[in-house]
Amino acid sequence: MIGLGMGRGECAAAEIDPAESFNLTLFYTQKENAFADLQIDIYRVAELDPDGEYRLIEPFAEYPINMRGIDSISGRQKIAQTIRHYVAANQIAAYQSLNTDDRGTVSFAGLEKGLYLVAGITARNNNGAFAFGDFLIDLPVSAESDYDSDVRANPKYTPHTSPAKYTVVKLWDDAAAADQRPASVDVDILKNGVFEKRVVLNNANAWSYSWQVEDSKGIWSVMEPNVAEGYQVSITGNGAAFIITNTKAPTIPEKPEPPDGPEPPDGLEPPGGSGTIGDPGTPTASGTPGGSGVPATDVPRTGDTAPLLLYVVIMSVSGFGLMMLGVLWLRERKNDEKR
Amino acid sequence: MMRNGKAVFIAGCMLIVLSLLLLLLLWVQMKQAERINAGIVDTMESVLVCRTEGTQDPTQTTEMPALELHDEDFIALLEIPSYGLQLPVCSTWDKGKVLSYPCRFCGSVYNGTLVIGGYDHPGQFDFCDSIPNDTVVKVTDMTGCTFSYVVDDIERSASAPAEVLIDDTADLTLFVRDAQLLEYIILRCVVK
Repeated sequence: MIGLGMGRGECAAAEIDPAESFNLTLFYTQKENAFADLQIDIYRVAELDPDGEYRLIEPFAEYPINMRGIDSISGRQKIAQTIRHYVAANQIAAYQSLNTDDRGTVSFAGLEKGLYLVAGITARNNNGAFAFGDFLIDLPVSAESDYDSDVRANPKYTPHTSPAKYTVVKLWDDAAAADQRPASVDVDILKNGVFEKRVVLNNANAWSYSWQVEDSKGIWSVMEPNVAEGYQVSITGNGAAFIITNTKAPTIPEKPEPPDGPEPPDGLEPPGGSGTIGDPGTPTASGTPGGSGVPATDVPRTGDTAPLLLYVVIMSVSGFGLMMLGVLWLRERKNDEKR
Repeated sequence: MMRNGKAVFIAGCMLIVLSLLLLLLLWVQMKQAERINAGIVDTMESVLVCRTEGTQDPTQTTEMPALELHDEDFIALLEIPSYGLQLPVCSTWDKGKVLSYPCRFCGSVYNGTLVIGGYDHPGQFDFCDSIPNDTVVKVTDMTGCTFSYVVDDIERSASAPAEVLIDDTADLTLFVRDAQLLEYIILRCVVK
């Protein structure tokens, strides 16, 4: 039995027979209560390329899905949710679809190697409604020196809530490259995979839109039909909020020509691309991975108006002094005149 | 002689009027910044409809996504509940913007490297010189993940280059320049 975290199917120690098939068994239970007759859909979404990186396969390859973060649990959750929105919006057929038995168990057999999306589902029992989230699973899951061809997992669940209002928000992850963003984006709102409405998000509406929900049974999803060129998208749900993040797609650098001169010694490479410590250029966004890049002006100035206060004090004191001097001068002059 | 005395007196008066005008200008700027901040925070709260607890991960390499408001990118909402303080955090460092709202100097909330600079006028980072240790500081990213910290240490430094501001032992660093003492106050916060 495995968790639902990571486990990229790279099996360094054990070679996988390309013809080998795998089994995936999932257990849908809430404590000791099994959920029977749940339709579970799985989608084969990606496969490993020779470099050991996951590449989306058809029909998912045609969508600008941001696959960054595939190695982290939170990243995989985001990717799973994003793919699920594309599945809903494009009515993509499941790779396999089976129902759980009386023990809440479903077993998929004869699966090819690759990365699979297990679609989330909401289930009810006497204790209430529970949401099993979307998740990604690698087949096979690598072990230390071997791999499992029979993968078993317990999907996680959370109490299901039916918000009365949903909000969709557009965020940008592009190192503040606002000049490259479109002035507005279209977002399609779908209910149970069926188009409901298209809204325009822009600066005027704070790149967000909210709508009331009368029917609590519908499953809502959102889609950005036309993702701006050079961007990839991730769509995540956070309760009543849908967050569409457009990330600047990584550019594949051309292989540099080998330098003619001697190579620089190790350690002289700037730590985070442009805008790093010591760079005398203009301040840049902290757009390096992890946001750890330091602005080019590495000496921050938060109290630049402090001299202003100092000037105010100096000017006040000087002014007062001059006034007193003037008064004394005038008084002395008057006294001189009297004499 | 009489004329010189008058001129000196008038010059003194003008200096005092000028300094009062400068003070007024500063006050107007602060009030304007407060009003703009309040509007931004209201918008952020309307967008952050669901908040979840965020978990810091040192291996996380994801940049903080930004919400664009008033042609500016904001990456987080900074809150200090005991001071009733809510401030938007601008995505990029710009000393010209710091008077209006705190700005990220560098780093990310996801991997515990975030450094935020502010200005020490009332309603912004004026709490820095008197904030007690263990005060709760919250940073909510624009996806609704809230990361909670407590103030662990307060440092003072004559200058604040990146080497001083970036501290591996702190999960969040806030800093401000003390306008009176002309030194930097650096708050080191750790995950609660």
